[in-house]
Amino acid sequence: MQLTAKTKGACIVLALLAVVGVGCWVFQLLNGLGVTGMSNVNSWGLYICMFMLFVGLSAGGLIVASSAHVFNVESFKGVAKPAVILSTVCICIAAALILVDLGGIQRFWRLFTGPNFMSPLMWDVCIIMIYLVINILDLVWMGKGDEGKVRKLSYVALPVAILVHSVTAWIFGLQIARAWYTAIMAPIFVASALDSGLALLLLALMVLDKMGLAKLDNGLMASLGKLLAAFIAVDAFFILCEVLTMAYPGAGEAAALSQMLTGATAPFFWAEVVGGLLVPFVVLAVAKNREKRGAVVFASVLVVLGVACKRAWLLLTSFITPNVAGGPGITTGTLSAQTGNATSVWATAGSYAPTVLEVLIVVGVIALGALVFILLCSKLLVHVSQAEVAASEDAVQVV
Amino acid sequence: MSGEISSRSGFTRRDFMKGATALGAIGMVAGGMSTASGWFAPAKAIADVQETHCVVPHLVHCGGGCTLDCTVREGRMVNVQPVALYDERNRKQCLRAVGEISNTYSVDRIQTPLRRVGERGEGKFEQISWDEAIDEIATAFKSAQEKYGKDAVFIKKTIEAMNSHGFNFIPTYIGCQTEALSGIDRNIANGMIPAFMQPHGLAADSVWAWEDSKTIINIAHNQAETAIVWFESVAVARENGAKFIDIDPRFSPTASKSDQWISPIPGQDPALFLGVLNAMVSKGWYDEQFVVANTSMPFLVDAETGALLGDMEQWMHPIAKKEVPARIPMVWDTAANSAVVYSAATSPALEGEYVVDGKKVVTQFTLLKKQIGDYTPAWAAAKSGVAEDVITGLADRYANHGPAVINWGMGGPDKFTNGDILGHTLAIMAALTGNYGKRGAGIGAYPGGGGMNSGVAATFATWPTAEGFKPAAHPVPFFDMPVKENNVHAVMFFGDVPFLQRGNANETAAWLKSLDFVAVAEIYNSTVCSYADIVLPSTSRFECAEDWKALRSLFGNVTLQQKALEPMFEAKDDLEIERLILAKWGYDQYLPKTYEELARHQLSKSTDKKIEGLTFEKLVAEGGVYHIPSATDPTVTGANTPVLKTHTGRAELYYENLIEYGQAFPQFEEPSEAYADNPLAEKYPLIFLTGKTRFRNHSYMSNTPWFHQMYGEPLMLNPVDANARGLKDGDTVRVFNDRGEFTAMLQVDESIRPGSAYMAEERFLQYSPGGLMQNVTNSTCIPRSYTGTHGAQVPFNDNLVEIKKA
Amino acid sequence: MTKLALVINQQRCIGCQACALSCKMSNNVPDGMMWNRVVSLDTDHIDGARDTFPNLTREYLPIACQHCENPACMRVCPTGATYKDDKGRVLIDYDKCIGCRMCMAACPYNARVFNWNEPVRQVGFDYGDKDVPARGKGIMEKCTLCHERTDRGEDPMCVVNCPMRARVYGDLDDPNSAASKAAREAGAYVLLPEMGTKPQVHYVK
Repeated sequence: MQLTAKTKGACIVLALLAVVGVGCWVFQLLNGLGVTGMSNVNSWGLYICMFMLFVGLSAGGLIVASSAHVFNVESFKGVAKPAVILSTVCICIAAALILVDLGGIQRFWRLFTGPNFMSPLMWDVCIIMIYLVINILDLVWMGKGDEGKVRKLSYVALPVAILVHSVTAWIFGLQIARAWYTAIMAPIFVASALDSGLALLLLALMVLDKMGLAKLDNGLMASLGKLLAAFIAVDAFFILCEVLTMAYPGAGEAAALSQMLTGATAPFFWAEVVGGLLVPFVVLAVAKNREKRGAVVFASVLVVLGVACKRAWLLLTSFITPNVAGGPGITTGTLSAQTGNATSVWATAGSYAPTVLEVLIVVGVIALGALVFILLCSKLLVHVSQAEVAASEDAVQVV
Repeated sequence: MSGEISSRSGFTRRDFMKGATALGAIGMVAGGMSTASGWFAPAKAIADVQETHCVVPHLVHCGGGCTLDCTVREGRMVNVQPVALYDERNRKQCLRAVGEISNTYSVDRIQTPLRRVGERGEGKFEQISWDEAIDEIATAFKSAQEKYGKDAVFIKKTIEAMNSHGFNFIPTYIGCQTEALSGIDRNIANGMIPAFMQPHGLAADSVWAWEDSKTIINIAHNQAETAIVWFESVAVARENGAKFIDIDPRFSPTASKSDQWISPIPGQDPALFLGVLNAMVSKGWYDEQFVVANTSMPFLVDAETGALLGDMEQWMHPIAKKEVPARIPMVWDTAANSAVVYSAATSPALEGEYVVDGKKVVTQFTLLKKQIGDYTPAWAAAKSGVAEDVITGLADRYANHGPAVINWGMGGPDKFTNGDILGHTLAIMAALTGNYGKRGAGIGAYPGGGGMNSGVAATFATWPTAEGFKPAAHPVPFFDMPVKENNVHAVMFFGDVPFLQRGNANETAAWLKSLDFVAVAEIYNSTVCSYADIVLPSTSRFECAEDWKALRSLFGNVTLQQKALEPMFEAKDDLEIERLILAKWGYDQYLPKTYEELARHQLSKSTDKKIEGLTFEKLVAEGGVYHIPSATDPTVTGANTPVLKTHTGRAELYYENLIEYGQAFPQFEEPSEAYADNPLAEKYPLIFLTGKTRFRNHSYMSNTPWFHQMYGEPLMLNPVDANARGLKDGDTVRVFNDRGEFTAMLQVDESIRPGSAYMAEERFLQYSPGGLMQNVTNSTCIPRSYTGTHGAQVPFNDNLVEIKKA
Repeated sequence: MTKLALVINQQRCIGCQACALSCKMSNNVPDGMMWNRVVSLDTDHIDGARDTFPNLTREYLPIACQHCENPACMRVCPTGATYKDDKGRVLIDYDKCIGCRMCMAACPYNARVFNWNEPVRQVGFDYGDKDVPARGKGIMEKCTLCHERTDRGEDPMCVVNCPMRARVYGDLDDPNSAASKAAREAGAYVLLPEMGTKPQVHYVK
């Protein structure tokens, strides 16, 4: 199909961003991960935050799509295809983010020649690959209109989607050395996947709707919005459980908690709690808001951003206070440490700020994803105007 | 190339290093490159080439004297570890030995002879040849000597330069002035010498004998950072039950390894110990029998004049090595009921007032009681900031709980004008309790493992001086040259003498600028280089043009320094530098041609029985280390019996020559500047203390990147004082007083005593962009100080400063 | 079995950093990082002091890889680059390291350092033991108990160069080894036992 000029323009911008991102990545490959803001103390940063986010976004899409079949939610079936496309793109973005985070990507093949199946990262590699295959199969069968296969696949896809994000959670949640070490990590991740994935799906549907590639009627929007509100509540509940467990003994993880509530990662924590949970929940709790496109967009954007904030506080809080803390601290190993004096060599606490280059790489990866998403949608989805839609009275007006 | 990487030092060093290639730069540039090479290469051992091992004795004047086993690979020193040829106890080195890898290849190496092109102090130089440099030095010396007289030239080496090579030929042959150590850290010793006539107290046994001490009182000695290789002795002593009491205003690394840390107000150590002495005397915590038999306490003193009773005779002063008048003292013999010569008395009275020939006389002990009567623990507590019960407890512990050691560290009180009073007080404490000359007891400066530990070292023959040559008289010590009239117009330093060996660097710099000529031989671009007209590159201790270098005797071994590295750049060995200079007079003929010739002479002409028959060949065959067979186990008491070399053979605790200063017995006196009641304290309320860091030996190793990566060179201040000034950790602060100022990075630190500020002593100028720390330190010696056997002592710590945000 | 370990006497440790720098030297550890470091616990500075003047304490703790019996780092390594060798050491096969830094997050002791950049050595050459492999950018590294040295029968460099003889190296599975004896002393403990990593490095307070 033909892309509109506007869409073309967007594609060009996205392509340019992707090219810049690839350029930055090549620069990073040549110079090492030292071009990022990471250090020996805070050893994961924006890439892993965004990896977590996009696995979640992906899982959310697939969960909605497969729920349509598993639980036979008829209204969801209409958006299943864009949901799976979104899911596929997001998981690719997530995988790409893992790859850019690797310091020794040229030895990547070691994962396959000498896998250690004890490693949650290995589990993640496996589950992501399975998940990707499911997504692709889903798309293929959906394209062929093979409802039966899609339906059967959905029974596999739903648990795998839940699992993919649980495994991602376990990369962190099984690390006894860190404040991540909690059984609720997987449920929190799944809850986050549900709310952020659904929110992104809503946003994507609106975009597609505007492009005429999908149809999002107010009824569907309202029911998806209602579901989103429920997911937000679940997410909030799990976070409450975790925070209470951390806080109650007044020991152990008290240091991490104080960083979360009042310290370095507090802005992210409160941004999520207020902006990512409370506000969107209140907005979506009001039934008539769910039918207002603007309100739903507002709430959905907040949810996605809120979950992005959650990735930040979840990941970074654990890097702040070393278990064995004392001056002069830990050698940072950064570029400035290599040639600098004691002040730049040592850190007694973790700190992190992404570099411009790091941001450009992430933007590039996301842009590439968005580009692929647009292209896939325009290829795989049938334009609403050309579709043989019997009834037109429910056709949604472009807002 | 070098200029590009010397971001730390800016233009000065860039110009300084001009025309030369910094070895360090190669690594920086190569390492900093982005590369995909080696991406797919498997990790391999870094080298598979021949390595050689060389024996190199390390630093001299930390007192350590470790000998290093240096691994050399492809002409570079790649590993340093203690030499296996040493016995297990002495098979040691500290972090500074490891740091030499980073230090030796530092970008601060002087690479070629340099001639000044800017003003002195600007640090602008051009590269010249060795011929030109030597010519200029000789011409300048000759013209100064012709113009002002032979003593117009002054040549001095740092302790390190002097003692690692063991010679200083030039002054003798050109008849100019020279000087050994002067003015540094001998103030406590000055106050103790008259009592025992030993240069550094009665530290007869080595620190290893502390294993039998019950108490070790450690005064201003931060061994855990400075004399690191000896500090195991403290651990052993503590494991054996000794109580290690550390006295230091600052909670130093050593303090944190103590059983009790006592933090006196800086400069108030004499008050603290006068209080301890008062408690001992007033509570009777002394050994009366010992005191009567072994000290001057029964000697009679004229109550009117303070003069000792007795006839005079001439006596050879064992340290000053000259004849001086000395008294043959009298005591009151209670058996004879009359005053008799001390050696003739059967039952001398320790206390009392008597009349002899119509004069009222008293015993020294009676006089002492009177003299220190006011220095009660309560008084001392008020003065020193140490609680009264701590002071009494210290007296009790020292006097009543078995053999005790007092060890001081050449620093701290030594750097205040009243340090001699502390030395005197400590001498009396030791004499009253007999805490010396027995297992586990001792008093003295133990840096270097024990004051008299030299008993286990061998003495070498000195290179003979040709007939008719000697250095000029040296009337004004170096540290006074900038402020006292003298005839010095041209100088040469081996190493950074000027900025290490005197306070008030602004004064020092002005003096250097006023001279006709300044030459420096240095390994590194130390501060003095900036003020030189000619700079000569010296080899480091690891380099030599010959296979073997200087001879040393350490740890009961004779060690021959081996060449580890070829001389770097155009650097030459000190012997060669002296030979080149003296060749301009034709006197090089009197010098050894090589280190080997010198070492052969030192061994073959040695009269020391301990190394009889030891030849150069044998030493080489043994790998450069020869264990002296008769070297005694330093832990065996009596191996080094303390001999009181006083006139009477007793501890002579009454200093008749100091009557005019009121210090015949110790009398408390405030430091010259750093005390609370000084009106100057209103303007400059903080006492500024300098000390030593483990990451340097004085300024040596200032330029060691590995150490820069460990230690940020902070100025340290207690939070109380920092908060009062609105300062926070990491701030750049300005430290200033009327003498000058410098800037530093602030570290807010509880380990600093409120009211004081601390910084480790001097780095090179290029690492002190806001001025030298020494700009604020005190250079003024008090008159009494000049009467000391070691001469006047520079009060480096007797400083008041204020600190503000820069 | 062999279970090689270090036992470090904190009573003796004076925080001199000789072990830290010796490790750096012997293992060719580049500028800007250390495998072994000595911290003053609960403070912000080298040689920092705890509490308030004059009631101060300072606890030096040399810390490097603890060579855990149950190494958290090894479990999470996806390629098996981190492994436990037959002498009980936790080692890294640099050729297998993909630079994912799972192990870095997993280590409770912050013992690992990563080559974020191409290593830089201001001295301009590789120093230390010639058998130590070179590590390029993107590779994780840490204390190896100087296995190149110890396999030749020498002690680890931190042990050789400790001027306080505060470090004992040996086999914990040999009840008569000096290390075993030291680890049984009163006051012997391991760091963060609650992590369940069972460090082989022991400390004696």
